[in-house]
Amino acid sequence: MNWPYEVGASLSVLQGGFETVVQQFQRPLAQYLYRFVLQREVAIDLTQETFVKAFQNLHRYDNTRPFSTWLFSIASNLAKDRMRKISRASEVPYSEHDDYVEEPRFRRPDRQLETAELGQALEAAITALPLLYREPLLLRHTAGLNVEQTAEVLGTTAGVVKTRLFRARARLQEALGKEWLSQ
Amino acid sequence: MSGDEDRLRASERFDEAASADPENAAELDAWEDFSLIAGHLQHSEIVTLPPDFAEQVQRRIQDERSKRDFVLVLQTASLTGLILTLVAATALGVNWWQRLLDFVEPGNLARLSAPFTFDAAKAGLDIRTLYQHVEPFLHLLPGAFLTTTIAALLLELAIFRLLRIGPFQLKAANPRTYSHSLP
Repeated sequence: MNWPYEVGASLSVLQGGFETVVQQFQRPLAQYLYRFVLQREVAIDLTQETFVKAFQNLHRYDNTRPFSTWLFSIASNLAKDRMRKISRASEVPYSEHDDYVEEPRFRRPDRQLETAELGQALEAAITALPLLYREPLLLRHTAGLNVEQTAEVLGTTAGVVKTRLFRARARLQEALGKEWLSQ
Repeated sequence: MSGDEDRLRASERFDEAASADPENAAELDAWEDFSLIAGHLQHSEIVTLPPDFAEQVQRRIQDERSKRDFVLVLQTASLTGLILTLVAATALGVNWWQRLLDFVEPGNLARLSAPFTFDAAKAGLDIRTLYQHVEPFLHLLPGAFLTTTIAALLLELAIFRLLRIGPFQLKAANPRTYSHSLP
């Protein structure tokens, strides 16, 4: 995925055209945040908050690095903070390892499934992944970051990201059936 | 140490070890072609933003900026007011208020106004009458002085803000952000 703001947007350009930035990133950010927090209203609120925080801190953006990496780092941090707050309120400790309570609805789906059902099955399997594996997957494919950029957002190495992606794949295969995924 | 922490540490150690495994790296290349998941994550829209989302973001950014400006002005004004009060107290002596009250005693004022009037006794009487009227409000004077000072400073800072001068000059951009322009 190529963003026009990938690298090199100057502060004045970003400040002047922030509406374009919002238009450009609102959809992937919202999808990423929804799959992160799994609550629609919270995801929309966090999307807004990400843009506000990004605008307020534009002068800190280093344009030798991709803008999308910076923006998704903000989103990731905000989402984690919000998850912690929600966990504290519900007195359930937040952990990246925790599996989502809902099991995938399609464990061995038929190969002839309709597109909509296929989407549902995939979504359920992705949602069921622990955040530790789900987040790199989302950054890689929903946000369109490469492995190195994903590692930067997560504050880890490219090797660790690759391993987590590998495990995410293994879990998805297990949940959905290998043959079905490779169709 | 909690079970979650143990799991996290163990997993991270395992991640590092696995990332160094060339077989895993080879398998990850295949993951890059795992287009069903990638396509789903990239194109599916599981959360729809309101149509006026971009305008909402702009409004929130404006609100946040106004709030931040107001807080800045209030802080500056309060601090300046406090400093001015301290300076005045130091310059005039800590008992300046008592001395001011003594100074505005009716007898003193009558004596001072004598050169400007033909009838000192009558003037003294008028001042005494006036003093009796304003006496109940004298204790409000320090607060009124301080409020007036703060209001004047607020007005001054508001003008600075409007003209974008002094502390409200446009922030100098991060020099790194000027090295490139938007493609």
